[in-house]
Amino acid sequence: METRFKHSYCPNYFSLEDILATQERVLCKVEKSVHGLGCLDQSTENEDLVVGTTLQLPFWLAFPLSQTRVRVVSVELPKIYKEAFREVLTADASIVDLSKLGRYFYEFGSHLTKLNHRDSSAINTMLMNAFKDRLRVLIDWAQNLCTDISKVQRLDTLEKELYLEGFKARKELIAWLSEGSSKMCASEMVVNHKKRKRAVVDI
Amino acid sequence: MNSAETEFIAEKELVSIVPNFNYEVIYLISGDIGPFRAGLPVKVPIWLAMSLKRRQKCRIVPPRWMNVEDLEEVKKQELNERFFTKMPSEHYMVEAHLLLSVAADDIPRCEQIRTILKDIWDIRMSKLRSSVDQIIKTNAIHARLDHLTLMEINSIRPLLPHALDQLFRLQNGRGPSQASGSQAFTQ
Amino acid sequence: MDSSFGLDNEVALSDDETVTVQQVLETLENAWLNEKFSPELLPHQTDIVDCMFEQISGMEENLEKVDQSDIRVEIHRMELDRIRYVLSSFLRTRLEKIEEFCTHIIEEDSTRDPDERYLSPGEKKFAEEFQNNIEQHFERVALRHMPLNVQKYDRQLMKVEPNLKSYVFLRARSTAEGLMLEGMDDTDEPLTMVKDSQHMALYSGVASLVKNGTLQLI
Repeated sequence: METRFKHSYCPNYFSLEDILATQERVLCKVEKSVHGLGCLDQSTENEDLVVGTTLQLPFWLAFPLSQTRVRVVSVELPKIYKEAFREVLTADASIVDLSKLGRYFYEFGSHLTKLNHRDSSAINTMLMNAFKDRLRVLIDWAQNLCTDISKVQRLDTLEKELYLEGFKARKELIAWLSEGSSKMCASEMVVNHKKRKRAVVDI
Repeated sequence: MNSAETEFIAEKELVSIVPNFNYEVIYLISGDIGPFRAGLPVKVPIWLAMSLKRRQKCRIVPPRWMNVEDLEEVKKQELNERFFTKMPSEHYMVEAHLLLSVAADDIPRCEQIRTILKDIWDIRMSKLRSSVDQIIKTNAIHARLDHLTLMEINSIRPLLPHALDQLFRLQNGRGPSQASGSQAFTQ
Repeated sequence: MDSSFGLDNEVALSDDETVTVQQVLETLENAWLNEKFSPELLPHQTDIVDCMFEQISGMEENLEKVDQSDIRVEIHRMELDRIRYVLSSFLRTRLEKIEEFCTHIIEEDSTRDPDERYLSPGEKKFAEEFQNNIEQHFERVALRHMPLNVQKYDRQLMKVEPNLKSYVFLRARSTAEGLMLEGMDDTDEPLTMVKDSQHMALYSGVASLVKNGTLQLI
């Protein structure tokens, strides 16, 4: 039996997923020169960051720079969140390979909506609808114990986590239905330990 | 919660046994049981019934609903109704599972019972699938789940509630940004 | 010896309240499920837990004295194992939450009256030690090597809070009326949860009813 307290993903200070999601890069255009920060732009030897320069910055850096009273940079929406692509996802989200678009499609996307870009609410709607459309497929996969890697690989990180949870719970339930859990299973640690021993003997 | 814990909870339900020994009342913390008179039925929790049965100290009297006729009726109703019907026991699946596993010899036509139970379970699972679809599609903030048994609720846990948590987060623009933690917004 | 193993069936939880041991066990089992499924730490149940531990050790002492082939011995032992499982799962779940939301829980509890605290005295001690250890660990391993302006462990910034906007399953132990859940607006009829009905809803909207026993998480 288990006692582990489980809850769904919710970002916090120590959440690696969130750190990685905000590590995604965005294209920025410098709106106000910054003294001494030329090092951020590797294409130039300039000491200062000058107006008009375009450069890629991780979101965690670009965001505060775009929110200052006099904007230091303006952030361009990544292609996959722009209108043309939003239409693709609205048409049929379930067939899209999200993992190719970014491992943190939803999390990064919802961070982007905080830029107060005019597309923010459209992005939000798109994220929600895409998540809902794909969720039903994902639940089916988990409930039917789908192990087709090529399908599962099309999921983004958030989806993959849900799928794995669902898959594990389903597998456990089916095992119970077919034989019952009255026999307690050895914990994974013990099993692995035995395997290791065995491996040594085999050599 | 996993199946083992659901089973643990269902094992508290009472079932009749016919002991082959005599003993006075036993004062358990969860309630008194007995007295035991050889040949006379007495109610005990399932966990105890199973243990006594394994040690051949009793025969188990199947619960009143655990017979082919009654279960066929339950199945017919479940097929006819659009919504979940009330099951004869809150833990019908677990009780049947446990009792059939140790006391198949005490329960007439147990193979048939197994088959009908599996049918009922499948019908209910397919209803549950469409309910889940509906909940997601309509973005329900509340759903009534009357007559779903604990094991059935468990079959959509943690996937359904966790997925809805994420949907709620996306919907309310409460992406990571407003959560207190996110490092990206602490500068 | 007498067949009840010399244990009283009635126990006094406080000066003016006498309940049966059976009721204490039921309360513990309900508290266990609530704690298991609620995203946040719930009020401690020290009275119930202590009472159950006393019952268990009393019973164990008495079992030692009896002929071990007596059929009762094994039956009682099986029951004790079941109760011990619930007790330890309950306490462990609380410890897991205390570890995860340590700073948040200590902070919240410090605003409550001593009688209303969620942490038991033992848990409070554990929480404070845990918080100190974590902070010292961060300081020794990382922070002291950092530039001066980021050497401080900032509790407010780094604290982890439970997500109360989590969906839970519940059953009404008695009827709850006039419920307004998260996401409902003025045009929605307030919700009634009839006794024994089952629901799925956001925890944040029902937390107080879970704590006062109207609703049971399942």
